[in-house]
Amino acid sequence: MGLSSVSAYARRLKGKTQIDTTQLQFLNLEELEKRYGDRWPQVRGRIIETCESFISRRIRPEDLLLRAANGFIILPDPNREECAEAFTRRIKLDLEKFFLGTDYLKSLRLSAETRNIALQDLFSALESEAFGRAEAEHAAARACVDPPAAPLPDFSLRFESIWTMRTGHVALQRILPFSVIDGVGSWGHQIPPSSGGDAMVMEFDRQVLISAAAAARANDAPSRCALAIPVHFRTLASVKHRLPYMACFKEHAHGRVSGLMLHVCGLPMDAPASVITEITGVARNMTRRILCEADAFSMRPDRFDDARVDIFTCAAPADIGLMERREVALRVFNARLRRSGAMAALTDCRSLGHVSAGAAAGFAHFAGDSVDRLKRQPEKAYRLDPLGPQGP
Amino acid sequence: MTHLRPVPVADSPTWRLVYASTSLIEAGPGAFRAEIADILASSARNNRLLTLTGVLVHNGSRFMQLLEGPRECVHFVMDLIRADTRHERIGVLIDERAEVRALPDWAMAFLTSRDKELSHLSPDRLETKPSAEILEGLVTLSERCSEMSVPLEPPPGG
Repeated sequence: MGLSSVSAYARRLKGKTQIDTTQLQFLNLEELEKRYGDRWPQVRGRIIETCESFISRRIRPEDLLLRAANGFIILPDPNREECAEAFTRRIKLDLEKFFLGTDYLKSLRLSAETRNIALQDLFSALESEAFGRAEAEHAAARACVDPPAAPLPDFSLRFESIWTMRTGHVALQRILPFSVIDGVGSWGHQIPPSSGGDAMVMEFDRQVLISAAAAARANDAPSRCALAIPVHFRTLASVKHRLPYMACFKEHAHGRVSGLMLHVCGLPMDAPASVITEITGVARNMTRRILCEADAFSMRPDRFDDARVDIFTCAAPADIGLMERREVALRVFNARLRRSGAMAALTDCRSLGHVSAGAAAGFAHFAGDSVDRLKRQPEKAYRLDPLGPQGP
Repeated sequence: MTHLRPVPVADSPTWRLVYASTSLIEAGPGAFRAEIADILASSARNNRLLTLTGVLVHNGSRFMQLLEGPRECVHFVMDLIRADTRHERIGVLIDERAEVRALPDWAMAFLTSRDKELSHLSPDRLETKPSAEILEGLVTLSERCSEMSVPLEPPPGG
């Protein structure tokens, strides 16, 4: 797609304030990559080119087809009469039929959705400098009539290594915000005062995201560990809190920082499946891979079947005996997660006994004091053997 | 409480309504950002369906909004605003039939102390003026606050 086509399209857009785009994404390229091994780069190129050629024959010359990371974005001609949803449905159906009839594309899975670009404009406005000024002046105006609101305490970030037992490497760090409040160290979402409500939690998550993105940019390197940024489920659960967070992500992280994952925290294990799917879906819209805090003893994995979580993080109980007594249940839990394509990490491992008990129960990843000490900044991926003679 | 949303009808007269209100949005961290996001999201969702246009101006403590569209849709949204806990001391300044819409799309503008040249158009000053001046002021704000405004799609055939 040449620049001339893009600029011609931009001219046609003049005067429009929003447009419905069709976004097509391949869902299982990773599976195919494993299957094709060394031949994958050639096969991937062939898939993209074949699909591009197929789609371009089914859109109008005035539409704009763009390649995206794992798929395509179609920007329709602003004057097209067919509604966006119908267009998206038609293209998806055509492509799926095409996949079925083509040998090497048979197992390719596709998601298609219509996305409204005006909403992106809304997001941008929420992160603008002008909005920041308006927010400050609003606070000043309310200060005359309201009792002073509880401020958000200062915090700093710690980076906790998540060790993968199979490879013996640390390639992922989860971010833990830390603050000292009234002389007591507080971690994670204990930091925002409870009186601040969901808005305060959202603001805290925004500030953590901004700090994490800055730290990631400052330590960017091809071999840097992926970073799991914590976000409370309440921030993603309602539109009014999710929109500012998404705006913040778009402004500070999207396309600017590589290797970020969202780590959904605090999600009630008995939440309805539809709520879980919606919240994780919002997180997945921002980062390709997501983590989710879970309680291995009370979680119902069937409720997470459509959540497409990559790694569940489960805090180890202080009492190792509990893990040993419930080893069979934990093995079943881990096997169930693996069947649905997820893995589990055992966090808060205070001793090597936790790591050993977790390994016996089928956990794939480990974190905690006994694995490695907390870091002040993101690290490059490194080899680690917490069970060996030079453990932490 | 369930609200039945009206459907714009072809022969409904174009209506214009302007109100001013005091903002009750709390001052705690994140509260303003969350509530404005909520207003933007519901405006994006509803205004297109109700074929409403206009501008919502906020200046720290006061809101002023111009709504234009089919009469029943304008009054439906006004009823929602009256029930909205983010507003108090709501005063309707203009409620009349309009020959043509003054604004072709919907925007939100934040008037801050940095916009000194527009300070005479802030909601608390504008609401004491005659109708024609209020309307002219709101149109000026929607045009000049482009940096701060959030344009939405014009309604079909608006």
